[in-house]
Amino acid sequence: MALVLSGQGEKASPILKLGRKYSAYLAYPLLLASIVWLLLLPFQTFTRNGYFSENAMMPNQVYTVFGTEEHMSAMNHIDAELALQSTAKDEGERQAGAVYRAFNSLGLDSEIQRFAYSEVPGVGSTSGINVHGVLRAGRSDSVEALLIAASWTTSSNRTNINAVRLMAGLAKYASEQVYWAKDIIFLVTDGGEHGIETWLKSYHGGGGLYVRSGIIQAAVCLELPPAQSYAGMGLFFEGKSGQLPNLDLVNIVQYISRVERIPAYLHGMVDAPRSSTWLEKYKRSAQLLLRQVSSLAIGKSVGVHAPFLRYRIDALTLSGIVRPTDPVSLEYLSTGVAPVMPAPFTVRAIGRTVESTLRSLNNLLEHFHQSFFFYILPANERYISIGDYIPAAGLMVASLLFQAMHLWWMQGSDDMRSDNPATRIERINAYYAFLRRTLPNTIGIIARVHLLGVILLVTPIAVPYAVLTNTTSTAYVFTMALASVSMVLHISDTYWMESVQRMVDWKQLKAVVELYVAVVVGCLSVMNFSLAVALFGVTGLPLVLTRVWTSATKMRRIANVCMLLLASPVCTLVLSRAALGLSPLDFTSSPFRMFLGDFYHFGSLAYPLVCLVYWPVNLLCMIVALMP
Amino acid sequence: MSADSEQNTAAAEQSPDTAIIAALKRQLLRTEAAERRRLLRVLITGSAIRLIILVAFPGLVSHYLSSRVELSTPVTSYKRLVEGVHLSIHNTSPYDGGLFHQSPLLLILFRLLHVLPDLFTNIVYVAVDAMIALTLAKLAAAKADKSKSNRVPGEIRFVCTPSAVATMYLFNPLTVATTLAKSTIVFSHLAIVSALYAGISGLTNQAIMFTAVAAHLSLYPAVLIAPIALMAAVSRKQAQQRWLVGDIALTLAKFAFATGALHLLFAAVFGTQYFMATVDFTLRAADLQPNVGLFWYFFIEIFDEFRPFFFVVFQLTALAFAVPVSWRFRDDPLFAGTMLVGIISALKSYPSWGDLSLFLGLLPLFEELAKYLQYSFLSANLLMYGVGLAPVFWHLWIELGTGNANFFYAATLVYVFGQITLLFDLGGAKLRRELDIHYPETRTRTVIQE
Repeated sequence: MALVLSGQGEKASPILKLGRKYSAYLAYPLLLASIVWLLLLPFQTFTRNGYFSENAMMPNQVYTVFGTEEHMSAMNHIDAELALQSTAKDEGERQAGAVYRAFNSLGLDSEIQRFAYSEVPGVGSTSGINVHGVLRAGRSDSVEALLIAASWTTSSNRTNINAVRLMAGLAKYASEQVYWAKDIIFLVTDGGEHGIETWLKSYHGGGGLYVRSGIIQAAVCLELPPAQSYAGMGLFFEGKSGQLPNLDLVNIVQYISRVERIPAYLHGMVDAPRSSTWLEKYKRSAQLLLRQVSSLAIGKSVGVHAPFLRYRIDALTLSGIVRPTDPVSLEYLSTGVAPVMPAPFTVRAIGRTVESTLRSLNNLLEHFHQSFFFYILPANERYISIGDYIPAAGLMVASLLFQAMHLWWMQGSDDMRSDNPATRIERINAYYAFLRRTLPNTIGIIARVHLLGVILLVTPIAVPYAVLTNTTSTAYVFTMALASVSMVLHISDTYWMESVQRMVDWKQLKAVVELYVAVVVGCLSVMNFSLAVALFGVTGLPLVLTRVWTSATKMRRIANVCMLLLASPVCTLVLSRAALGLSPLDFTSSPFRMFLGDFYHFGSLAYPLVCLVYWPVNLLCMIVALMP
Repeated sequence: MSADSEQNTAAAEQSPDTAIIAALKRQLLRTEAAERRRLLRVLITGSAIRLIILVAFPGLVSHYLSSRVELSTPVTSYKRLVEGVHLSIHNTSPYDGGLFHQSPLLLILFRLLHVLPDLFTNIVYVAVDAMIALTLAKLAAAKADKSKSNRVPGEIRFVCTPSAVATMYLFNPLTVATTLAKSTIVFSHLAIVSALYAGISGLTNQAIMFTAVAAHLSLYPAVLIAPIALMAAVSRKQAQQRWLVGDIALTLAKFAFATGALHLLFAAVFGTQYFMATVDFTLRAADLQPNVGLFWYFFIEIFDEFRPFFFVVFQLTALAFAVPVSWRFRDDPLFAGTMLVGIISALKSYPSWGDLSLFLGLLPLFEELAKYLQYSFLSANLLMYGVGLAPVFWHLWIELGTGNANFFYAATLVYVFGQITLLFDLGGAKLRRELDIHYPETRTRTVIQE
């Protein structure tokens, strides 16, 4: 540990000597170990069986009654109201009016909320309408509430009218019962996540909302695309900055849906059958984990549950899985007309799943707290807790730390590292003079590159319309990339000149950058493991693997810079879009813009991390590779 | 930076050629003027940055920073101060209601600032920070003058220039955040550095007064009277070649009188309530709001009947180092003072990042010790992780509700452990250097302390 300044002069303890000798070789085994750890996670041996931690929930201990004639006619009532509202001036008003009247007729306290939002700061504004109705609980005085939400369009951009119909049916069912200890709020929005966020902000004291209830304990979001029947349901639960609902909620929904014979699969993925080989099982688990991790890292999930998690409301989305051959779905896709009601048995199964979930949540004695908040789910009804996956992040950080230690010890000239006590004072002098000369320059380089990152961060927020159009945003990203490259060339050129050659040492610069990345990845991993792993993949990994020799040849430098260009933000942006089958150069709907919007509205961390860590560290790596 | 000029003066002493000496003196004056300009530039830049942020982003300051537990504690919170001022303006005792726990001296200052626009409050905070930086710079200059003869043979001395010391204080992110959060700890810091500067310049009475003010503002700086007393005695010792116990006793008596007078005066105005709300409140760690210290978690967990015993133990741990540390480093009371500032920062009952920022600000004064540090890699990393993890764990615990108190306390432990490592390392470095100076023949040997 005393590898830093003390190296020169003091006699080293045996442990220290060992550390100095082997720290150079430790970085790679640790890196390898972290990757192996990640690859081991999908094995069933390393995962645990899911269980209910909160016994008060008592899932599936009740007779479900949803699906009577009255409930079905309440669902049809939505269609009738929509037909009545045909004089409304636009689609949003028509839908909102219909839902408002339907809720009112069921005896809910209802309210319409009109709002405007801009997807990315400074870019136009879109208007939206929320409608919500509150069913007052018979057994309490509106101190707690449960919530069911739906957006008018699903995430695959189809109409979600089936979910709205089901909500009307559920409202009818719930208003008939006397056992509610918590209010039930039914919320319909046409603004997607932004609509939910606006509603939540108003509900929690932002103003503009008059029909209210108590603390919302849990929320279930529904997405039922047009279809005759569903093959099952997809369960989505990822929030914006690595937030997850309590594992108990996920578990009870999975359990109940299985009993109601419309199973909710995680991300809509059916487990590999029991009889399949271990490889099949492994591949299925790995695919599911990868989906979760990427979803958590970029903060995008199916459904509108993400904003709830920011308000300490455990939430998830249930999304109907449509068979590719479903006639209703095919008809909707070809004609676009409002589809007919799904088959009664499907509606009944989903309705009873929600009913039973509501009954369980109704039993909740205090806020969800028993089970895990940090987990990844490798298969349906199995989990991996934080203690089992966080060591991978620890190994990554350790790999960076060890290489940084080694580089710091190896900086400067060789005669500063001898063991001879007779030359102690000379060594100390030489070493200290070296640090005095180089350290300010190293800090200066890091600060300069980060200044570019700050400009990158602030410009789209400060300058309105900077990311408005395809052309300007593309031009903006490429201008920044050009500025970055010229900065890299300028800095590395400065230190190439003979007169100032000893003013910096690449080992020192690399060590400091590694320590810095280690702190960021380490702190981030406890909050958002997926994002931390992704960040390590694009910054830490290239950092450890480039410039590993002392004397660089031209070929090695070129190979390094090419590799770093491949790992650069612009390149990953273009590649990821190409991989998704989108036009690689159209930045209006790029992840960059999405990150910016999420940062602005939901405070998610991807955007600042790209600007302040990913982008600068990539440039610093290039500078290190180009240094003498 | 100043290494060359020092070497030059050293060379000049060896070859007494008047023309060369005159030329060197001119050069020295030139570099001094340049140094002064540089210092001024640093102070202006540092103040400008702070003022711009305070004026341009008032929301960031009032809503976000000033409510962060890492930056403002119950005894330094600006919001509580405003509340106290409000109460006192309406002729109610500010110590009613158990919200306000700060010194009446601040109350007097801020009652004045209350009638002026907000801009003046901002200016006062920025000015206080600039004054701390200036005093640190002056301390660096004074110390460089005093310790010229104090060197290891064969060693190249680098002395951190005053402007570099000011830069490292003013541009430390922790310092900037503390000022932006308007934590009232900065007033205590100003008193501390002023006391140290007055002490090292031989102005004992002034130093005692400043220490009394600092002790009145945040209690713990009272331990600094030990190094101040030594500073007073050191100047006399050089004249008389022996330690004068009388000198030390006189300083202590004066300090006791000054502190007692301050407390009695305000106790007469506000009644005993004042004493309970400030001194007693700090000593008993009555408010268990989380902070970056060790007290809150422990005292939440503990059974009530053991609390008196453990607060005595905890406070003794924080205060008892005053005498041994001062006496061990009696030849360099400024160093003893720095160590005590660090100990207070790690072990006081309501610490914040601001306390660490003063300790880190004083460290560049002892740049000659940097090369003796053994664990700087460990302590730097621990402090970085401690500072980085605290907001993350706070977010998980308080804002999302997915973590718990153990998370945040773990970050606190890392932070305090980092400070303690740094303190031990610093003390060891000082001892080894003293050994090198006093017994130059050992400087090529390995020293094993047992």
